[in-house]
Amino acid sequence: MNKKGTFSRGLLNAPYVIWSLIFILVPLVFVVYYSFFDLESGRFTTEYIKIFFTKPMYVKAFGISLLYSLIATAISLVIAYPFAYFLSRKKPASQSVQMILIMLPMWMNMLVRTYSWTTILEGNGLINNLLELVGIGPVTMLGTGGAVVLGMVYNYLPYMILPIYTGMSKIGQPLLEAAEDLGCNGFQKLKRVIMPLSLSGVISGIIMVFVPSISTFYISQKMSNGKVVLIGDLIEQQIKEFWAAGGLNRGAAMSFVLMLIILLCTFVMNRFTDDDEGGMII
Amino acid sequence: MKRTSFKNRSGEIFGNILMGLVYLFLYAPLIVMIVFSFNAGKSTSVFQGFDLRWYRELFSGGELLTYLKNSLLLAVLSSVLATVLGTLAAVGIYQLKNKRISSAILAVNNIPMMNPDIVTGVSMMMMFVFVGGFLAANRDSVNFFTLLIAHITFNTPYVLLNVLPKLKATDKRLVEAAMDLGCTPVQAFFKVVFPQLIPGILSGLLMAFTLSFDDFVISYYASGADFVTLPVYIYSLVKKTVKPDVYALYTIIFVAILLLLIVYNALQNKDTGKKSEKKKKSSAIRMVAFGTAAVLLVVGLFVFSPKPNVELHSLIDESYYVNEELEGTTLNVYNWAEYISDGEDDTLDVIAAFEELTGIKVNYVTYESNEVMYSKLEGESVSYDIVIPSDYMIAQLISKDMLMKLDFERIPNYSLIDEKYKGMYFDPQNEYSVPFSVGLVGLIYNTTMVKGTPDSWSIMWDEQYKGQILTFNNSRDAFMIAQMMAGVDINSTSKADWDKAAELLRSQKKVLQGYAMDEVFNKMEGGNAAIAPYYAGDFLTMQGENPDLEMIYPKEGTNIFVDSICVPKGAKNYDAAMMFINFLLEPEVALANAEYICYATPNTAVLENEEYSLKDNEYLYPENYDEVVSRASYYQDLPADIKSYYGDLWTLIKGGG
Repeated sequence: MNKKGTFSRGLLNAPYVIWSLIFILVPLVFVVYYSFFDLESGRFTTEYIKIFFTKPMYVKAFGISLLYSLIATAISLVIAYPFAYFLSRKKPASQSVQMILIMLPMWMNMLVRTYSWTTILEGNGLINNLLELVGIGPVTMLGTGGAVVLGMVYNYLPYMILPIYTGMSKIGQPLLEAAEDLGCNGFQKLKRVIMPLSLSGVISGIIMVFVPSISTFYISQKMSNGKVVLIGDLIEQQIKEFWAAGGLNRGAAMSFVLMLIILLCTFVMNRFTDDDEGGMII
Repeated sequence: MKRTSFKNRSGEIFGNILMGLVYLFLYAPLIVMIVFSFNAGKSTSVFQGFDLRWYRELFSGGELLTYLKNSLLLAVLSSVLATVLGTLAAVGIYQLKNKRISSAILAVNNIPMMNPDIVTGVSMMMMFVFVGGFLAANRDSVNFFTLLIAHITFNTPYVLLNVLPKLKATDKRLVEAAMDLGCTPVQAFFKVVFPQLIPGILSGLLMAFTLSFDDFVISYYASGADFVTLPVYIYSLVKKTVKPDVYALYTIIFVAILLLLIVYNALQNKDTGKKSEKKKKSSAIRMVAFGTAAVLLVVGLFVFSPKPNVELHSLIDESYYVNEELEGTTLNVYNWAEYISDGEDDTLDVIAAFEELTGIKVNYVTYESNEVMYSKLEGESVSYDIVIPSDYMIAQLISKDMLMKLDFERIPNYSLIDEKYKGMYFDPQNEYSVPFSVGLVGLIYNTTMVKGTPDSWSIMWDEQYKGQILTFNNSRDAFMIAQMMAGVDINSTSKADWDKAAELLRSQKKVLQGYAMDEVFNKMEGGNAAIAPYYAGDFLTMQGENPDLEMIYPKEGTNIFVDSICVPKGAKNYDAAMMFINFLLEPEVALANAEYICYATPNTAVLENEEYSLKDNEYLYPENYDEVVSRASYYQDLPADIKSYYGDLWTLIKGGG
């Protein structure tokens, strides 16, 4: 590779780097600014960032968010991985249709979808009516932590399936047959061929499920009858109900801390996964 | 060999079962949605019989179809642009030798995903307002373009994360081979690498489209009055409720896409295995036909425009609305969701009628709470000409000098407003506001689940109804009930008073089923909860679906509110705003609104009208109305330190930490 080629290829980054500088980092400056400067008086204060140290409820909400989103991510992975594998074995035409079928439910409005889930899970809901026919129940489902996790898995599962699937779609049947011919059993095939080739899709999937679910708010409110309070709920409530009374500041401070923690998590994750595949020459 | 094929088969069966279960899981709520789109009733939880009324409704007026068009346009544009941007970036990152830089870019890439939407939305709004201040003082600083920018910004990370794994999985030796065979690096990229990226690019595009099509929070803050999307509108309904017409709209979208997919699949299947040139050609023709069908479907949607009911029969003074200078101008109206008659069931479509009468174009945007409206107004991102806030919010807006005085000479119909609602505490000199509707908070209960007739809020603490009681998921209203119970002023500035109420709320928690706003409708209509406080007008909607429901005004007192029409500072079409206010007060228009909203009206022409179906309604205008009102209190704007004090108490009560 000559130097000029490298340079011009480096330019491919430029549009998005500039874009993210302006439209991701500049708004972020406002978040950081309002974490420390009062909206009304404009004075510097550490009062808002301190809430994490003085008020345990914020730390607690944070812990619950972390726990639920980790569980939801793990469940999504367990469901999505075999699903993506079987999908990648289907006929190509069917694969492209199914890709859309997986995403299609998410085009329906989130409010409508969540309402429908509550109709299914309610005390007088569909499932309990069915259970009653067999003489069980009623079982309390809505309003529990389980319902919140279910909501998270439901809303983000497609974001786990698609990247894993696109990673696997490359593994052709010949490759697997070759592995068999070379004496691999099913497990070895999985371990030596499929897993390594789908790993980076898995990482993408984990990020795309974990990161949005840790800051989610709407799902938790509806599925828990407002009883499970996640960090996203607190931020949303502060900004919406107490905007001019320090709410915006508190919301900004909470998301600032949230951001630092997630950045740290993804940084650690990148350390473990990115061996030396980056930076290769085409 | 035989054994392997047997194993493959059992694997296949297992795979099909698993995939079937996942699809069942993904589509279960959609089945519910489709079923309720055919509901004869208004509820989305109680099925009253099969009817097509909501489909008729959809095509007979209202703005839903316009919002859908907007959403589609935005989702297509933003996802395509984000895909280009994200793919370029992925290729660029992949080629970066410096790992630090690439992981820095990836870390920044994660930010839009991990920031709670509301933070992304608000911070983007602030930036647009900040920049807009320099660029063009005369234009709204958030508009369609800022909305597009916001969508591209939160879409691109997903594209990047889909394309990057594909890049990492490409075999570099293939590229080297291509270059050995004489390809330039660019040729090698397009001939060898790019085809392998296509699945990743497609799934990125698909995700970007999905996210954009269903986003509401970021869009809410990043958009102006000129462009309302479907999810933004639907989300503003959270104080009211979503009606099955929204379900019907999404059912149509769903069925249309499903049909397209089936056609597409059929076409593809015919082609597989036959690869002669001729076949290829005919498949190309079929693809073109398929594409045309898809385009026609979309164009059909865009061309189709429903004919709303705009017929006015009895304007007080028709000549008042003739003003050539205002024709063709735009009026930005910012109102509560479902707070104006929209042509449902062939009633008057107030906005369309005003446009027809005056030639003024109305941009109509809705909000879900006073506070959310305030944050948008304070940001000065959009210049609204009309807002309809509640009493205490009007006081707050006046104290911050955010409202304009009204020119009452140009609102002759103001004389129709009941004297009771003039000179109220938030606007003692009648300078800034014109009352629009009046409401009370009542205690709703299910007569089959509750013994006797309650007369007090105390039933909301009653152990025997444990797990069947709901309260407001909104701090001020939830506190109000506890304050009434504790006998303290709902506008108290003493922290001890708030502590007292908080203690009651804490002790209430163990008997609560939960905290609810719009969910109250489904839960009470479906008999899933026995007791809930809500706004009297909305109770009528619930009772319409479930006749077992009753409502009382508790003896301890309750909250009364007046929502009034105001003009915010910075309004750009003051003259049209005056005309619009006067129009809203027209007896015929006010009647249509009163019937639609179901709240009490301050308009005497409506109250005296024999046609007003709620005229003697025992819940809106009970016989002891004056007594109920005498026990009720208005909210007042509280000092910031009290607000943040009870905000903390509220978080503590709900989170229990």
